[in-house]
Amino acid sequence: MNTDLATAVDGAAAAVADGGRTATMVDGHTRRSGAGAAASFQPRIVGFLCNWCSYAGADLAGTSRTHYAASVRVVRVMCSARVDPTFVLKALAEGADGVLICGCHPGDCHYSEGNYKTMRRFPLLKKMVADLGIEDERVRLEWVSASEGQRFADVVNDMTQRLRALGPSKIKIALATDRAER
Amino acid sequence: MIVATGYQEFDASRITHFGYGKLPNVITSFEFERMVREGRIETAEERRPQYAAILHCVGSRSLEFHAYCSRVCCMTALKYAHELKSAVPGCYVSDVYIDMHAFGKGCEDFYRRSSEVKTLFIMYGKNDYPVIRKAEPGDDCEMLIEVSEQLSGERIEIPADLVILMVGMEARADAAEVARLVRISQDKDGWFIESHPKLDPVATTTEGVFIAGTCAAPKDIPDSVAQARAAAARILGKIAKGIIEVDAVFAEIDEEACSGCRICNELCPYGAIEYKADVKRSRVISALCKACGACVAACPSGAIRARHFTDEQILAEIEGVLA
Ligand SMILES: Cc1cc2nc3c(=O)[nH]c(=O)nc-3n(C[C@H](O)[C@H](O)[C@H](O)COP(=O)(O)OP(=O)(O)OC[C@H]3O[C@@H](n4cnc5c(N)ncnc54)[C@H](O)[C@@H]3O)c2cc1C
Ligand code: FES
Repeated sequence: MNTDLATAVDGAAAAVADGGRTATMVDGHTRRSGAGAAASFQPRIVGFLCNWCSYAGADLAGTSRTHYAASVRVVRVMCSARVDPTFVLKALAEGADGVLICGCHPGDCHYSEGNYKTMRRFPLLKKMVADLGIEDERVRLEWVSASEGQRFADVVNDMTQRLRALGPSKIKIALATDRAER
Repeated sequence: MIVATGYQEFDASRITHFGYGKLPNVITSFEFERMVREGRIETAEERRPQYAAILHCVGSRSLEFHAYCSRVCCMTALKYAHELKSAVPGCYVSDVYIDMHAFGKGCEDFYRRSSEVKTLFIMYGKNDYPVIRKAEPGDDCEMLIEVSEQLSGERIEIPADLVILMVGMEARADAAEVARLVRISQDKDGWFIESHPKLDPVATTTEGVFIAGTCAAPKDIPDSVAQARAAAARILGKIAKGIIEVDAVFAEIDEEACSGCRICNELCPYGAIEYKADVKRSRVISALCKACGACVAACPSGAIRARHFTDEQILAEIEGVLA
């Protein structure tokens, strides 16, 4: 794991663990967002998409002119198995409200079994995220094939809706406060 | 490797309105081809048909079955009309279609000539299937086809002794199995996906695997042949060079940082990581590596670098997309 990031993550854990201060921050944050903000809040999702299925699926959503929430920012990786947990934590630390990992359907991975590795790693990642005090719904794993442009759009829409209900992520602010106070 | 596994015909009995499998004189285009080949165009009762009808788009261009056009059926139907006219002189031929897709070289001309030989063209509505039923004893034909004719807006009946259903093309039932075997993808209709529909139509996303013909999408013989030749040329081009060039995207292990734990050895689906017992370090055989990056994400020492997808690059991308 990248050492910079390890520090960042430790910081996040410490900040989030310190309930009182974080709560103030959260209050401040929600108040700033204003009433009724949940509906208008546009979550920022970092999507790690495997090159062979999911990236092509997202591309298809685009070329098919499918309308979906403009909330996902895509980072292409060769295979879902390339997604180092570090990347997910980094995205959350940088202010992502959610992280979406997409790979080929089980059995269809371009590299035979990369997605099975992802599948095995993912529960650990979810647990780690939860242990850091972050709602584990903020990370999501989905299988999207190259022909499933509509499915990609549906996944993004659904995740966007759930993140709206959850509200903005507090991690970045918690980290900033933590750094400022150190 | 070239995959050219073709298509299968749509099962016409799925559209119950047509009575295929129940009415003996409702046949598919494939069955008609056989009749032509045997030189015997006749009804199940071994009579020459006085009235023949050709029904287009069976299973194609429908909301219920396949949304796509099967491309070859319109022109083949026109060909059948000519064949019927010449093999059974005096036969009345009705061509029951949705839209006439006469694309390509000489096809529009062929369509015009078909109208001139008195083929009766009757237009039916998409998803408003004609209904084929047995005629009554007083009628001078075997069957009646009830159609909502689109141009006149009337509900009419057409006599028929022989009905030819122009069954569409669909992906083979075992296409998924083939796709999995050679590691290529299928689109939502089951056709194999090309690397790029315009610029790289016979290659796939799997290095060394090419596709040709109707396994990729409905097409006619000239197009299938052109693709097959293109695919063969691509392979010859690779072989003729004598050396195979691989992508510059592969993983590398920093031997200084490697602790020799061997976690990566087991993870590699290609056996591209060898363990050098003498120095107690792992090493990537770059020609075998396909760059999935599974080992990179798993290395506890951060000793593996995925060229073009390094940690630094991806972390910078994350910062970038969130900036
Ligand atoms: C009714 C009808 C009429 C047509 N008439 C015309 C016409 O007049 N003119 C024209 O240009 N086109 C016509 N066509 C289109 C023409 O049939 C196709 O363009 C052509 O057959 C496509 O060739 P292909 O090699 O892609 O597939 P296919 O002809 O389907 O050949 C595929 C071959 O692969 C074999 N195969 C499949 N799976 C495997 C496997 N796993 N292992 C080994 N072998 C396998 C199959 O048995 C088959 O022999 C017509 C089509 C239809 C439906
Ligand atoms: S290549 Fe898509 S998950 Fe492995």
